[in-house]
Amino acid sequence: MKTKYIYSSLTILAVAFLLFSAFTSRSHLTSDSTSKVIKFSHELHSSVMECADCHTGITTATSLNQRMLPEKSVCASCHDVENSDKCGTCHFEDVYEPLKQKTSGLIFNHAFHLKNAPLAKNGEKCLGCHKDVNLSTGVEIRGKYNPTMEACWTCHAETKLATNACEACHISTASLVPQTHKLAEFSTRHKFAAMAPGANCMMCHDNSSCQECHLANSVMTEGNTDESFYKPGEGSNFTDGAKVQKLSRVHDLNYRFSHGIDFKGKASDCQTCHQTETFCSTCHNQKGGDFAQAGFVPYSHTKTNFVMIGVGSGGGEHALLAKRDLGSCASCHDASGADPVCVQCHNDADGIKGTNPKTHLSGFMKSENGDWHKDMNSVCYNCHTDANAKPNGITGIGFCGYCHK
Amino acid sequence: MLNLNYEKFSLRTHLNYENYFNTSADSRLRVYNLYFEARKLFDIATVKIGRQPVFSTIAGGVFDGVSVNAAYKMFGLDAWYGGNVPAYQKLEITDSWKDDYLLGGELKAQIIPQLLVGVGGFVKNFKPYSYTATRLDDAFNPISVLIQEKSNQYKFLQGRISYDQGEGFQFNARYEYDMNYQKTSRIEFDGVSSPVKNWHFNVYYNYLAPRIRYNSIFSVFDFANTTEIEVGAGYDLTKSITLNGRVGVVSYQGDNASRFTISANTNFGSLSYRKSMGYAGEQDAISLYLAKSLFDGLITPSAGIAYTSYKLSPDAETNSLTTIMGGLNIRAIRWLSFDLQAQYLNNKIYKNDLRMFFKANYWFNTIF
Repeated sequence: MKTKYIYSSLTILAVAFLLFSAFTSRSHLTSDSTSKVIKFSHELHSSVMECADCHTGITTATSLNQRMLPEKSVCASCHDVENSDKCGTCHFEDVYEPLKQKTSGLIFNHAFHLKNAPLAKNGEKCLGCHKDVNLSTGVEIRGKYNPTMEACWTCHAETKLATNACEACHISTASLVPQTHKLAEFSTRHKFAAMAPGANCMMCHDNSSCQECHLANSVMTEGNTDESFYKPGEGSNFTDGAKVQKLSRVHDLNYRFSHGIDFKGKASDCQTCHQTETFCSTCHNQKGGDFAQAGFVPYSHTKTNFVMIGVGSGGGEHALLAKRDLGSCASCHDASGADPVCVQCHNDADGIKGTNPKTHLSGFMKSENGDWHKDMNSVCYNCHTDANAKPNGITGIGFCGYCHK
Repeated sequence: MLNLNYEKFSLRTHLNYENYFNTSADSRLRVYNLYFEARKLFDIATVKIGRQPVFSTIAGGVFDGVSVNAAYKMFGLDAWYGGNVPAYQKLEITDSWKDDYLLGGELKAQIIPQLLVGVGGFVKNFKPYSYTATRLDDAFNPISVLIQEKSNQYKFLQGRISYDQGEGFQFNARYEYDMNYQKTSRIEFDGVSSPVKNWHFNVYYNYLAPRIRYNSIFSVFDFANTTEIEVGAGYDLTKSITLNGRVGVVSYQGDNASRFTISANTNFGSLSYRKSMGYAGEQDAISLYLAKSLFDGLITPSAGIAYTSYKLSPDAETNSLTTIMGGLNIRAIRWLSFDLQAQYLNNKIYKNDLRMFFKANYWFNTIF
């Protein structure tokens, strides 16, 4: 009972933190806050003046958190701010607040980029990044007219030109997960997203990133014991190697014990990452033994009717389960160099048709597709062992007589 | 992980050395990546040579060989060939290239900006290991037989279509044909749409034949296929909070398994509840993870709690387990950081098990 209270308290505290952080985060500030303070048309003003005429601090600003919005005195250089009858020209009724400068989680140096960036050198300056802001009839450029990360990437991908390290621009890299990654289906469909036209995964991930999950090399080792439930964060990104501060994970901490449900339920395509015939065996093994013969067996294998012997018995539960999901059986029992456990029962020593367990689909090999019995390496001879069971055996005798009359 | 880069050329490595200090042996060096990369050759191709990753439905993992990625106008080509990597990613190259290799590729065409069509195929062969087994002769006397199997392999052809109209609508379809068994191996399609602001809907369908290697004894059994359908919906409550739900049903021969998940994702963590029912097993799992950077990224505390109650089949016993994780990342300077983490685990095997982890990260990468 005491443990339950501890867990409950921890959970409540964590949920409270989650909600508090989410609702009070900087990124949650509405983008229209300044637009409710003042009436302003970028389109109208840009036709008669330069951006820096209003944003006077922009050419020397080295941080996005420096004041860069115009003060009233700047407006006063053109507008008659002393005439109280004309307040409504710029101000909403009864709103006389200074423009709201938002804090930013980005590291950006306007002064440097205006002087050195290729766009500035090409004479594009402000509009090179804040594309079409001169067409805006509103006040806000944040969001809609701010450059996208893809736009920054046109220079920052070329590391000779500008670094592509995440932390070069982002103060914190702990919460840089795009919105698309937070959707329910993302774990299933990111493979499609990565292959889609215009996929921009490489902005954040290089091809080592895929391996962090798809090789499962840092989380579930083949020993799968005590060392790696959870992977401390590690960097990705090609040359500069950004440090991702958020701890990443492939599977839940508890996954080691309940993964069988996902495996049977096809919730993930395990085989994309894991070579099941070898990966599974390294845990479902009995030290020093043959895992295909004895190891950590599924619960179903311990039932009395799991295997029923005798022609006509139907084989018991295992026959039903094998038909339902044979890949599941093969994941443990199909080890190269080890005798398959199936052969213990599914064998045909006498070459007399109809006296052995039913193994094959009706009409199996009828078309003689495949090369399963053309030489002694064929899988047929794992089970069919009568003296005539061999390539070029005598027609009509023993195993050969099943088909070749 | 250490990368050396000079303009279009890189030497990329990803190595892992581990040692159990409480035992005298069992140290191991794994070589996940060790390859040379030349990018944008003639502005169309990237070539990699050495031990490198490959991602496809069957051939995922690393291999020793060469890969080419090229793009010219509306066409693209991915191709790779090499040997399988030995167990534990040992720094050894296969001595049986005839039987122990990967070969694959895909030709892509972007017919219009939103539409991509690809056709390709892949073969993965496994080196067979011979062994001696006891069998019966036709008088039912035990005899010793040398089993020398052929190389096991997967051999698939694949086609796919991707249509991407941005956030409004995306559609993907994939078809795989098993050349050995001469039948359809997989049909998969996925669609996502956002017809209403802040809402996202997803449908996924998958028909899948068991992945059985050709020449495996399992290939001779009578078996069925599975089909799966999953639908999901997401809602952006705010810019920072997304609510999600999804339901999936898998149909086997004569039985079904189902699952559903509801979750909330924020910039600072996630909370999820998951339930599984039916043939695959029963499970109730709740997990919560948090991480938030403070003081301009100087420290990032993180925490996680997970509780799972499950039973693997209807008549099996119910097990429960709890894990709690707390961590701290300290980034004193941009290229140097430290991870400290504690993990607590409690279930029937690990009673009140507590572990501590420490990791120092320094980035050696340098642009020459």
